Amino acid sequence: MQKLNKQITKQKGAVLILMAFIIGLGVLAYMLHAFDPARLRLEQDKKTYQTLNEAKQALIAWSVSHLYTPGQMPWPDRHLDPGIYDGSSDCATTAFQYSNLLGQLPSLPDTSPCLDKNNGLSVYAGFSTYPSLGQDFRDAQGNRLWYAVSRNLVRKYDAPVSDPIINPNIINAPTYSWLQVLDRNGNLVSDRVAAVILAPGDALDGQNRAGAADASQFLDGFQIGAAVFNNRGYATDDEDFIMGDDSRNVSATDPTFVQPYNFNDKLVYITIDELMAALEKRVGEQVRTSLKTYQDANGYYPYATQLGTTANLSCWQNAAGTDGLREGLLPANYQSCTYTRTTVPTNSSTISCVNTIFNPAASLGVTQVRFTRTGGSNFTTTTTSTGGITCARTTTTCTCSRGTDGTGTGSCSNATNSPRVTCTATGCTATGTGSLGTFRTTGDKFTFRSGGCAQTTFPNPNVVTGCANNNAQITCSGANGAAASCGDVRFDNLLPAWFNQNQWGNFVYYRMTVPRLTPALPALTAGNRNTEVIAITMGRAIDSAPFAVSRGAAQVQPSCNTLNNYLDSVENADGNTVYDATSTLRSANYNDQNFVVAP
Amino acid sequence: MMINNYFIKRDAGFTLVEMAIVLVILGFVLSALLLPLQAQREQVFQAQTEATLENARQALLGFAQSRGRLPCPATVASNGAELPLGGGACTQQVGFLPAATLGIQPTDAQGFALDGWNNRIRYAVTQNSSAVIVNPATPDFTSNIADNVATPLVNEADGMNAVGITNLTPDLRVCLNAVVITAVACSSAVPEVNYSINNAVAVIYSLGATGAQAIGGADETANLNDADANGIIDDGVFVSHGPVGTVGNEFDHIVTWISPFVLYNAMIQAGQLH
Repeated sequence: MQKLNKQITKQKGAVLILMAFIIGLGVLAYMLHAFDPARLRLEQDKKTYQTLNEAKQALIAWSVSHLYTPGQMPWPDRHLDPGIYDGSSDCATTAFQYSNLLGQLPSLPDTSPCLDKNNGLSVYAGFSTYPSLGQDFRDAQGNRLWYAVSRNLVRKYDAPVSDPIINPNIINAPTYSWLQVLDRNGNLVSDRVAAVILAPGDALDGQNRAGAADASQFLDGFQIGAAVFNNRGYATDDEDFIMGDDSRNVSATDPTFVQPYNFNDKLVYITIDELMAALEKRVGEQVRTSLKTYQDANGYYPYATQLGTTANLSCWQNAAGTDGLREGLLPANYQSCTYTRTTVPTNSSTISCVNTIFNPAASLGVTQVRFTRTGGSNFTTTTTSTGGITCARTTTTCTCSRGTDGTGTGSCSNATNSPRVTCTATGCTATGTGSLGTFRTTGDKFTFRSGGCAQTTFPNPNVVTGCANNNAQITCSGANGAAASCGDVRFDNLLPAWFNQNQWGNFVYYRMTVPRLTPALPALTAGNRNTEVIAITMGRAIDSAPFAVSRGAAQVQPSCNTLNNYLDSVENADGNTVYDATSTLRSANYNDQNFVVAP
Repeated sequence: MMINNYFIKRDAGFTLVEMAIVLVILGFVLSALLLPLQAQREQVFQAQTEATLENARQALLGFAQSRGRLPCPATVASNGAELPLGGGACTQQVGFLPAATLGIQPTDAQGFALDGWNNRIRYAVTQNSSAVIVNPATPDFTSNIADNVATPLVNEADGMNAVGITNLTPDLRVCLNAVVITAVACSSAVPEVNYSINNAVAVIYSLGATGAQAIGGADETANLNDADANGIIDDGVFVSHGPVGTVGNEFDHIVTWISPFVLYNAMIQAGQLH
């Protein structure tokens, strides 16, 4: 018993020691895990790449959604120019140097003497009022990101100043070569690089980043044999940047590199192709909106421009003005086609809307309609109901204006009511011999959309033939009072200035049908959607293999009526009414993007 | 017996001195374990909060891509849903992230998204409206009103796509500090200075470990939903910088925001904006 007691007593101490040992082991394991350098590095790298990608997306977004110059990139933030890495974009108005296009990624707007794009003036002091990225991106080590941009995508500040023309043609025929990105062995990864964003990482090899340190204090390089690669310099238009391996992953005896090897930059890049794809989305949305606005204003879509046209993209119609081109390029420069409209063939004409045209709100709707008779008897009397529409006359015109509350009736007529013009809040009617003529509105325009004005006034160039004597032409007047014809909300006025400055009209295919005609023309189909109008941003001409399937060879633009020089798939280029779906994926030999305009 | 007694005495266990030494060592070991554990927990909360904010950011962009507008903030009483439902003029410009509307998980029992410290994530959205639009009373960024075909001559459409990029004017500010902020800007100087962004469309933020109760400095006050340093309730001027522990000016808020360009581009790519 005593022996047994002795043994049991001894075990108590051992348990305590064992516990302490186990806890010690646990702590050790935890510490090893918590401070595992490899794991910490991985987490840092992950964070850096995440930031790089966010910065890339933000930069693309800033460029694509620029109000005045979509596609342009900001100048970098350079040291000593004017402040030491003050976060703002620094242009250079002196003689051009490529080295000015390498600096830190700006988070704040341009400074003096750059252009303030909101007001077109040079920034005198402080910041431009046009915003920058609005986010200060930093890598895992807390360094601001670096950034180099192609000369093709920045405003030219040395005399003569100009903005670059940015459209798909810049891919095939850039003014300057694109930047290049190389892999760890110096092999080419891409030679169509629009911009690179670099994370400098920790300082290496005696780098001192205090004060106005230049790029060499942040960015690194290495040597393979006699070839030197580095991210520190930007000397030519096709300057190369390297996606090298981190020093931690390269042994000190690695024979590939000249030792010592000091490199820890991390890089992401933006190719001009991906920037252009995003940009074309904006162009397509703009085209869609402008076409819809035009249709809302005028009641029809503009005729197209002949394929092959490269300048002055004007709508095309026949000499009689009775028909026009329904397929081709977007008439982005000028819309001068005037439509002749038919009226009901009973020698009377009606403009009627299902809802009020004389809106009581001062700034809304039509304020005045004027009829000009083309023959018959004079207008001799006018009537006005209380509080209603006021009509005034000359012998040949009747002008009815909005009343105080948009209600009531007004009319011009003669004793036999031939001609007679009557206006109510819902529209005007002209009846009787000679009452056909020009209908003019001021203050706003008639709207002919579905459910709006009677469809008898919808342009119908095919039916017009042989009906010339019965035609009534409606003319409208813009809000500025300038008289113009009813195709007169001009299409080019509905496009923003950047659209034509960058010559985007050359890169948008456009086709319309007029589905409300009887008999109806075939509607268009994009994927499973039926539409009356389709627009396609056609991207660059695919001039190298793999070629567009529609063409099977290099696309050549401009091209007269050879659609497969513009559009890339058989479905898009075969000339029938069926097109690819709007969500069709792009590929190396397919860069069309289809947009359904309406409905 | 003598022998037995001797053995018993010797086997009685550790002496007090030995125990004390062991306990001291254990104390060291445990503190070495617990201190980093506390720091680690803070790090986890921080990382969790940052991840939640990033999720919220992505969810807001996704919401805008599908709905053509941003959601209104949730209020104390709205159970995590935007108020008013369906957008328009928001009940509060600064409120809580509408997690129920966005479908973000996890949330508390009332449907609000929480940060790592179990405080509700806050959210502000610009309520600015373009002056050139027919209905300036309807904020552009939280509205998506289609043109009514039945009344085509009255252009009542409003919202981001109706207004268009050119006329959108977001106005939320994230300032570097609260020293010179005003009710509407990061500085009274023109052009404006002291900002990270002066045209954010949305600000999403966590009040950090100390939550709304802790008394921080003016920088934290600027982000709280009650009267700010500038005396304005529910304003659109925020402050963001790294954590500061200086007594009287503590700052541990985590602030993220959505740049208008990122929102615009996301919506353009989704066919919701021109």
